[in-house]
Amino acid sequence: MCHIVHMTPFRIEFQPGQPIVDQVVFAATRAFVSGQMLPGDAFPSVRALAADLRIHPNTAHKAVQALIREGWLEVHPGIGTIVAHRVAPAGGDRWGLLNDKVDALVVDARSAGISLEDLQRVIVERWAALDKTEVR
Amino acid sequence: MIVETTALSHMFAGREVVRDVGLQVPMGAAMVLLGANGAGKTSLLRLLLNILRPSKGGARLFGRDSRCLGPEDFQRIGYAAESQILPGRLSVSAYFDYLRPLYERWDGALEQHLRRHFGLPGGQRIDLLSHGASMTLRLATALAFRPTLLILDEPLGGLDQDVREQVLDILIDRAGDTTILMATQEITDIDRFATHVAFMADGRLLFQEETGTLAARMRDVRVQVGEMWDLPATLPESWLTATRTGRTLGFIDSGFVSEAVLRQQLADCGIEIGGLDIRPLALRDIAVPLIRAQRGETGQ
Repeated sequence: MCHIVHMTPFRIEFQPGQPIVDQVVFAATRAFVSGQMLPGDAFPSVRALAADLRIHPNTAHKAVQALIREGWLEVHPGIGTIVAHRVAPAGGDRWGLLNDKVDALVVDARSAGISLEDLQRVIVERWAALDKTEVR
Repeated sequence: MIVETTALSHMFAGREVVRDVGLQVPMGAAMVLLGANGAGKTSLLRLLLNILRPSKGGARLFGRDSRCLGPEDFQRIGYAAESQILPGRLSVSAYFDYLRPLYERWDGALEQHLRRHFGLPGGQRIDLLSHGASMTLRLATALAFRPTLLILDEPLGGLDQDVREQVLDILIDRAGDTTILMATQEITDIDRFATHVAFMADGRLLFQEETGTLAARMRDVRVQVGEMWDLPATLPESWLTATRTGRTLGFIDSGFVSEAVLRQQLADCGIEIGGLDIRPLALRDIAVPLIRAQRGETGQ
């Protein structure tokens, strides 16, 4: 019998205090934006994802559903789930929740006594680091 | 709900070992039942399985009163417990041969998969199996008929790390189709897998909730406090295992909402905040303080 093993192509260091679903969605999104997974790539099945990350299949299912809703994944009957050719949301939607996150980041940075220059430098470094994680 | 109990109680030797338990296990969940030894976990599971009878209240499985569970219901319920007695003089294969015709939904391919996965030696006499192997045998025989509900009592107790991982792999593989209710003290390996957590102490069910909401409300808090300072007589009930070491007050906040709310609570207690460190807790780090807090309470 043929048995195809899909190793999940991204690693997750699970952190306490945060829902598992959110952590899986975040790790997958990072793999997409960094080019570690490209449009057309096969995404692991719910079962494979659960087995590989040692999470409940219902949790894996919720993560895949969220990624489909976000437009990152597409289901092709008979083929499986693949990474979509995603069109980023247009105009005002583009910023969406990000505005709140930037506000929180700025507040946290200020309360920790981090200068604007240091914050900018770290953002530039992290932005570049995502491109370096590309493994192809 | 696949399991639902109402004011479920059980008397043993003149003591109420299960008290007014209202447990609800949703379909498809993997619920971990935590609690210290003697908290009533095993008795609760036995009540569900109609091994024990309620002294008060009741339990429903698949909507059926636990007292009326019959052979057709046990076609859908898998049960594995360390205390289960196995037919020691049979070989592993002979035991499977004995069980197979008893179940309508026995899945031969799944049986083979489980036996291979756990490396169960068919010719071996059961009483000569190691502790780990006999536990995996119980689990394999509880799963091979594709139960809708799997009830496990300390399935990981005393198992080696590699066997625990084998057990977890199988539970992940079967979960979803099978609702799992598992009493355990060893949550290190399963804290990512459990969808729900229930906690028992002294016969009572203290809480049951989704793992995500539990993780969200539990925080390890350390406060650097001002100089002249005494621990107030009453702290919020949600602060567990509060201890003061020098100028540091440490506790587990079991009702964390936000840093702002916590700062207000500290101010309300007259605590001057020098520094504040709030950290999330892994499920395994949550269980221990809860059990300890509960012991402290009953010891007063």
